[in-house]
Amino acid sequence: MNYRLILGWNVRRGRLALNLSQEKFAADAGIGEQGSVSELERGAGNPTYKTIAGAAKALGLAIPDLFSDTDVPSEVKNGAEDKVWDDDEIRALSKKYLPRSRPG
Amino acid sequence: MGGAASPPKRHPIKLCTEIHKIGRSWDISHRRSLENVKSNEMNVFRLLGWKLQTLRRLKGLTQEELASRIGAAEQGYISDLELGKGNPTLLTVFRISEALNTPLSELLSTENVPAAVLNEPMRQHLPKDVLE
Repeated sequence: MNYRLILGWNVRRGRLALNLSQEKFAADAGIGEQGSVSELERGAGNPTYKTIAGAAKALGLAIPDLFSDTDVPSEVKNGAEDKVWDDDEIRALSKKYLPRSRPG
Repeated sequence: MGGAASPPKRHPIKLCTEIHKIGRSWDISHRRSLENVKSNEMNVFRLLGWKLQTLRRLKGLTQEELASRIGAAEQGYISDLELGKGNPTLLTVFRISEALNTPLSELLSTENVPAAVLNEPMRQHLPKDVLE
């Protein structure tokens, strides 16, 4: 299980479900910059607890929900420990598993 | 068929009513406190601190032992986290969950956490360097 990638995927799925841009989501979640949302979703970096809690709140979820592997694609769950998605990879995954969402 | 069952005694009924009353008022106040948790900002830092302390004690670990298990230099780091101070990174939270042998989802869950903890004011959560 790759908790970083699962967290990122759940944030991305939740944000797209609410049709929020990364900028709007960053503001709602109290995350400093839009760039950190992109990092968070791609599994890059090492987010703080405050960021994680802010993301959960902005998505209307409890914090543990962000670490749930329910309906998380196996590529995400089983990603290598040091795996970080690049922009193309995360877009392709979203297209494959979240087809009704607008890319963003 | 005379007088088989004796009439119910007075005081069990009274007792029952009292319990019912207490139950109701507890229920109402409990529900109200849960509403407060929802409507106000939940104190997620105290949530983490309370869970951390509760699970650490359950596993019979001292703050020093937990600190060394997660590779933290000082015992004060755990003490701060338990008080709801500091802002650990995901990696640290993950190491804590491993050290306590508890899944992340359980470490971060609000289940069985007293509403009073979740309702504590949010002032303590600023990282030390912000306060100084």
